[in-house]
Amino acid sequence: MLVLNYFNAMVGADELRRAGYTYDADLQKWVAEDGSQTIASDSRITFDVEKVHECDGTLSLEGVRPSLSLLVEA
Amino acid sequence: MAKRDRTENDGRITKKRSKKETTTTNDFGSPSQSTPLNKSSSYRSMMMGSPSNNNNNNMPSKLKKSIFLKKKIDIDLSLLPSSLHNTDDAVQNSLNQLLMKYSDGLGGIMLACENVRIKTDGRGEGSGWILNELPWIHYTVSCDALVFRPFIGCQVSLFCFPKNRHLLKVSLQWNVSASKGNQSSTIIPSPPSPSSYMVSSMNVFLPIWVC
Repeated sequence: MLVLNYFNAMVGADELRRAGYTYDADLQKWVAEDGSQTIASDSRITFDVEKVHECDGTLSLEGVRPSLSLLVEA
Repeated sequence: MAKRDRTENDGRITKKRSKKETTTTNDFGSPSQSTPLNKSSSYRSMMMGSPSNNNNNNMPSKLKKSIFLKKKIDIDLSLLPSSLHNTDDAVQNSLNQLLMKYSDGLGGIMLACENVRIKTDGRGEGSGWILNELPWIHYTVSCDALVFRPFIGCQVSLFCFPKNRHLLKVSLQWNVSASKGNQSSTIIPSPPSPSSYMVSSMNVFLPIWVC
């Protein structure tokens, strides 16, 4: 996943499951237990940064507690 | 120590004289103006920020701390004589190499910079220093930098594998390499002109926010 359309970031599958999502292999989406929300390509989610990795000037983030973002793109 | 070197070698040259030189390449040197020059340090660790405009130092609450920081920084750049036919361009190119890369001195990634100017001496002339008979000419440059500085516990938003159309939108300013599959898209920015980076940085600023 990308932050600022540039920086790499990841939220582990375990974290998504902990947040109440399950992976639907057919739809290739993470679906909330109640089915009301899905995380798929082009979704925007919010997470808390747990780790920041830096290697040779390249930054990547590792996040926890994901949730769908309510931000509206300006 | 650094000041003594400067006076012993009498290595001070003016920008005007530098323009007579003709050769190539540039490189980074030394730390901020207030710290001694240390040639053994890696170039990335040599960029230091001026604490004067660091607004986050006074932030009492984590909630008020932003992952974006605009600060005034002083950088010592070391240019080879080859770049002295156009010092301003050489300085700008050197700063471009610092963009989008993590810097220990800044504690984050410089997304953009503006108001770049070579620090002048008392007579209003930009000046460089030659130390220990080495070819590099050291300039102190100040600029306003926008720093992306994520920290543990901050909250950010992101796109889950943006579709290719998003990447193509970015390609208006950057060179983009994107495969046809949604999940293997990559963006490889080329060394851009300063203006294009400024525009790109402003564009990508929007999708992220901090509570």
